[in-house]
Amino acid sequence: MLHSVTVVHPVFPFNLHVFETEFGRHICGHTFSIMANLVHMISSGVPVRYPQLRIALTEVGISWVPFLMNRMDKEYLERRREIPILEERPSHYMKKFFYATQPVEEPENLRDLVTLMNLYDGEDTTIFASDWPHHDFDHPSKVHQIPFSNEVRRKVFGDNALRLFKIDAQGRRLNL
Amino acid sequence: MTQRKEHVVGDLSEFPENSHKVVKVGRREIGIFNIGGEFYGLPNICPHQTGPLCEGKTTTGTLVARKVNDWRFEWDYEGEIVACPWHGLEYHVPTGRCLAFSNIELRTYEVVVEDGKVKVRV
Repeated sequence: MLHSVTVVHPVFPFNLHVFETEFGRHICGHTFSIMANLVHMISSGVPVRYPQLRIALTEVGISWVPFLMNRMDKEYLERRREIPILEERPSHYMKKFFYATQPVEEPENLRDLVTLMNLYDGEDTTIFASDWPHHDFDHPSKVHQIPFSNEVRRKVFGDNALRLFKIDAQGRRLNL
Repeated sequence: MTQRKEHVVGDLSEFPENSHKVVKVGRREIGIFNIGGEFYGLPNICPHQTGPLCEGKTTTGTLVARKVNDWRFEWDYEGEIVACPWHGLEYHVPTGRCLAFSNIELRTYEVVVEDGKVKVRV
């Protein structure tokens, strides 16, 4: 579980100290830190060396996921030699990671989030998260308002988390 | 299936060992590679952004990392890799396989040497 706050650093990868507002720091700190860690995880071949490892990214929202996938795929094209450990394009591995929704983006048109999730084939990997009781928690009702199909809503609110944590539908741990 | 036609593209002396060059056959541009005495042909067009992929100056090897060697970097495919001069996408000449994207495989042309002539079958 890669949690954004545990990877935030005031200088790397983003010069957070130049912001005078928490608005600026909080926008850039969480997302850019998690992206830097994820880039390193991919470029050092973690998902190739440990194919059974389940990786989840939390507390960063989800809108950065398609950006990073596409950016990495583009760079990979020219620089495969630097990361010959990869057997597929970076997005192939990123699509297998799990993404927690909080702090879920709140576009004017909530349908945009459905489109966004489709960009990273996220219906089987996106998990509702609340971050309760932090100041920027999400109430389940907000994610519930996203116009998912019932099937996808069921996955986001439960089935995907069961897969991540290896728990069956009766609540039994499968990895003990 | 239509019979492939043989086209003479030059004398053997024009294709020294471990060199390659682009020839024109009708409207096609084909890269003819002589790798250690074995001949291969690839289309001179990169499926990525239509770059002249066989116009890279030299063929090289490339870096790979495999589980059997504990994921250490190794130099492999010496002389068998051509990189498109536009964006550097690498291809394995004997098979046409793109190293970065396993779903991309170039067509390969059969190249034969007969009576001191190099011929490509199209």
